[in-house]
Amino acid sequence: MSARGVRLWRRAAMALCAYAFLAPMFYMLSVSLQAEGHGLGGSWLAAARDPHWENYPTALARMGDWRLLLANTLLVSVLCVAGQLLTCSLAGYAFARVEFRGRDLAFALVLATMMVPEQATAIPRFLLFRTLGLVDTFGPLILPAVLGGSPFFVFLFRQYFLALGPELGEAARVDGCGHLRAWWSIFLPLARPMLVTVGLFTFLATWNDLWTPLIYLTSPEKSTLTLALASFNRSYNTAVEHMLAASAIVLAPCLLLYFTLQRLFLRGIVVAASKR
Amino acid sequence: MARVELKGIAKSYGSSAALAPTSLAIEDGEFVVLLGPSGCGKSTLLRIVAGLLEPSSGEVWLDGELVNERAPRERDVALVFQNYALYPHKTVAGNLAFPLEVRGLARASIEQRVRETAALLGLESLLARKPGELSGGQMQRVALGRALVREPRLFLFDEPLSNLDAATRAELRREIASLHARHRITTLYVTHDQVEALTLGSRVALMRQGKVEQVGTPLEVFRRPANTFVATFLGSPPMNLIPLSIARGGYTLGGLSHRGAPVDQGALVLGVRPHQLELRPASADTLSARVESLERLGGRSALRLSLSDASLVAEVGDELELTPGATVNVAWPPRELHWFDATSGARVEPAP
Repeated sequence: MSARGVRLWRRAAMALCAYAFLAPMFYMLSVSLQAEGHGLGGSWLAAARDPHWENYPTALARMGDWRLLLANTLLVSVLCVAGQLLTCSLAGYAFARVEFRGRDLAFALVLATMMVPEQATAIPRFLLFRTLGLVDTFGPLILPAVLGGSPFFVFLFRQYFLALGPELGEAARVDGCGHLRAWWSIFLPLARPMLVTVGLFTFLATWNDLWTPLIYLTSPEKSTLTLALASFNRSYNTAVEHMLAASAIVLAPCLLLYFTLQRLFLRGIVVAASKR
Repeated sequence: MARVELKGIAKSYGSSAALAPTSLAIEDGEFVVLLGPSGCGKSTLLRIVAGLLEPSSGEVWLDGELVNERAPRERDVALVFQNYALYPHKTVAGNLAFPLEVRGLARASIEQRVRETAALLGLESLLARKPGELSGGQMQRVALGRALVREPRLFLFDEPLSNLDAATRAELRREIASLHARHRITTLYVTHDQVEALTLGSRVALMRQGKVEQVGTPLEVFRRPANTFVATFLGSPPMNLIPLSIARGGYTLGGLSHRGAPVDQGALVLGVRPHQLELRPASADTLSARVESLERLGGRSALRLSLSDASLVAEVGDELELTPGATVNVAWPPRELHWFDATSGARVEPAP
């Protein structure tokens, strides 16, 4: 096939992918701007010709105290990100650079927990948090990230630290660092691309999580944005255009964050000081 | 400043031994080179001294103190790596300051010592750069500075010049020698390069397959190699080894009978260095040889010669315009002959 043909096919494939990812978003926006009462069947042309921008303030008002919801969601997301980054990078460092008895077995066990679906551990985990008296607090949303982190991210950090080679860690230790100091002063700054990636994924996952808040949070003053979105559905008369307007509002910070960090996320850093 | 004593240090991984029990003492201010081919255990030994590896058995003593249980940071040693191991996210100044920051020195004295060290190594103009913007030689200079800045009691080098080009290597070799001459910090230096070993070391320890084969001054190990491994590892081109059978205190080589074997009879290996073989006009005690090939070394040539019953390499001046196929006469016996046991390879002292 000619180079031109290859380019054409590639463009077509990318257009198809872009369509698959963008269509739901486009649909969400078009429904969120249509007049009340059309349900999901309204045409985007009608919405474009006569956009009902007032759906947005209405949706916001119907969510309740959106400032409180935003504050709760931000608090949980930011603490989860911080906890996840610290725990996963520390565990990854230990599995990559600290020698201790049973290390490889322990690492295999950590990885094995990836095979267990979250739903399978939901009930024991709930019982555990109930025993600890943490139901209807942010504890169950944050503690798992702070105390365990995700095995997959531990794995990512471990691979990244292994790829840096043993000498940097040896140099740090001979220069006077213990393991903690070496992790904090040398390995963590070098892992910036990993920190951005893991941080972004964690933020998005926590921000968008409905399952955990739904299980643990009952008081309205502890509610999160996703819970508020879900409650649109539960009300007797679902106003689709308001629900999707609210969804668009909740989604906006995620998109903004992604596009701000995208360059960092993709650029990475060149680790050029060590010649292999 | 420190005296190091290694007592029966051994390291094995599972059932494979990386290092046989090794004992070695390094006196205060001494420069000892561990020399050997790759995989001989010299880096393992160095890392055990640094505290980065735990020995399977044996003791490491620093200044009369047993330090087996001490972490690297408590041993006050500095290590320079083959691949420099500079911190890529820190500037040159940041790299130099790091060991002092970790030790909690005051900012003013850190700055002063970074400046002094940079001046000592000619790094002043590079202080604001990141390692990625430096050449290999500059990076290794910074690594030297990072080791030197906190005045450790023991300097460890792990093949520090192996990644550098020939000119930079020679320059840094001289620099390391002059630093040691000035500061007299006890040094353990690992290399596979015999030129570095012989030029830098006050003593050289030759290692093979996890064992120290010989320890001595550069002259000793070169002039009186303890076995055939040391004999051929040092010197380029390597020493000629010729297996001979000795009868009545003599041997036959190149069709001539020679006297002067160290034993009355048995099998021995005769060693002679290529540069001790001289070409002469034919006479009663020259061996006639054919030039098989020659290699120009710049000023000198290495000739591969075949005798009637052996082959030899001779290193001679290249003022002779020799071509392969020519016949030459080699003076025999040369000034220095070495004898080794045919089975063990151990040195046999020549007859007085």
